[in-house]
Amino acid sequence: MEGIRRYLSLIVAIGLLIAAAVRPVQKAADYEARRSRASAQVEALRRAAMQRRVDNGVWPTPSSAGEIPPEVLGAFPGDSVMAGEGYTLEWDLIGLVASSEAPPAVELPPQAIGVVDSLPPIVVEVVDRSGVIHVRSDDPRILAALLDEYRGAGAFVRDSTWSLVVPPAS
Amino acid sequence: MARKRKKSRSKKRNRPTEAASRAADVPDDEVEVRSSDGEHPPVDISLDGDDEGIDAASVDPVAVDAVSIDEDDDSITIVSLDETEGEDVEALIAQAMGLEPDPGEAGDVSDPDEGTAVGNSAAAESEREPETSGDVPQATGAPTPELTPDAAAALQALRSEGIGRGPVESILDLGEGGTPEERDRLLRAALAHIEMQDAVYRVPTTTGRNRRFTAALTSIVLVAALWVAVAPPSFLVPPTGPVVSEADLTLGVRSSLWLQAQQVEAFRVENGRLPATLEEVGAAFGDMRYVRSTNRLYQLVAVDPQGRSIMYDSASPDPEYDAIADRFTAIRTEAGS
Repeated sequence: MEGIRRYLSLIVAIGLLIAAAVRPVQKAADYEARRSRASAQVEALRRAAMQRRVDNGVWPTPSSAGEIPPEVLGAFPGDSVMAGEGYTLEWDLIGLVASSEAPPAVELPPQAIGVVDSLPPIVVEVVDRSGVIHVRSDDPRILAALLDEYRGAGAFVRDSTWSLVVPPAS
Repeated sequence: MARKRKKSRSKKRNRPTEAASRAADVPDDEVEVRSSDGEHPPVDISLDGDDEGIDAASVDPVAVDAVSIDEDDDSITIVSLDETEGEDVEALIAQAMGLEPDPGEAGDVSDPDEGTAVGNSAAAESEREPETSGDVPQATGAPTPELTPDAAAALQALRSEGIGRGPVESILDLGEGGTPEERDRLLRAALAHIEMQDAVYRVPTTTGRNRRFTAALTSIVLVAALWVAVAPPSFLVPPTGPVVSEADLTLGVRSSLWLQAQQVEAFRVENGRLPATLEEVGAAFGDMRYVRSTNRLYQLVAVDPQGRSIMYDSASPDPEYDAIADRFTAIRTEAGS
């Protein structure tokens, strides 16, 4: 006991040194846990939304940041929000314009025969609805990890938001 | 309760062996043993020259409590302690041991009541070292109990601490330690106390040199802890993982402009006109500026991470937006297939 009291200050200093050395490792472990959770929630939302589109022909309704669309609640067992430490998920719908050509609906009038070969096709523009998942986070490491994971799926990052367009599946 | 020793003139007493030997000289090799109560006839006891004491086996042990040696007539008187009621038995024995002076009259040694007495086992005791039940030779000349060397050393140690400056008899309470066992117990307690104090004082204390070394080591460790906390070395920091490059950020700005333009076009297709503001279609892809030049033409302007303005012109979009459009078309086609 006397020995412990004599070297108490040294023991405390060694404890501080160990805590300082362990801190970066602990922070890295915390980040990895958050990254894994965010990736899992993004994938769960994407699959659930696509499945709903296939089953019912409609996408889940858009939600505010962190709110789980009611149609896909089953994809988040045990969670009440689409969020984690330092990030939030958001589901939205966007319209993508698709153009297609269609033959003319009317025939060439007789007086135009010989003047023009044919009527030009009709360009038809159709709006396809697609889903989009936004992940908003102030930790650039999480955004970078998601970008790296979904780069081939058309994800992109702007400011503190990572976005992924979810096209409809047939 | 302390018993005070009577101070009396010291009287040299020969050892019982010597007295017995002297008594054995007259008559030859014999000593006359008398009973002080007169109930026993005198007995002549032969003394072996090698004996150091008196063999009292021939005397009735019941009646014999002490043997008195008379130096004058070289006689030995058996003293019955029944006759010494009220007298200090220890004093009698001590006197018989030759260590304590005659408590009373100096010359009347033939008086069995007050004569020097020798314990019936005095012969045996004389061979042993003086016990604590005996007397202590005191320089003052006063009758003092005799201590064993260990007890004397303990007493000396106590006095060196400033305890027990008084006479020995006031220190050793022979009144409460009336028996040899009790005196031994007291002395053992005194010795244990001294040893305990020595053990306390012998505890090594931290020297100044050791303290300085500990303080220096603590300072070094604290500085190291501060350095690791503020600027940890690379081997302690795990790899942080991927980062968003400048090219990715620029591509992200262009992708958001193109997708926002798709929202404007979808509004035009569904409503037959361009929106007045971006709020009509929802600003879903970040901060950007919407400028409508004509009823069918518009521009979207955003700023990249380097601060440069990037524009999408609906009249003639940059070829880079064609690549983005092809990319998303391919994704939609792949998803639909």
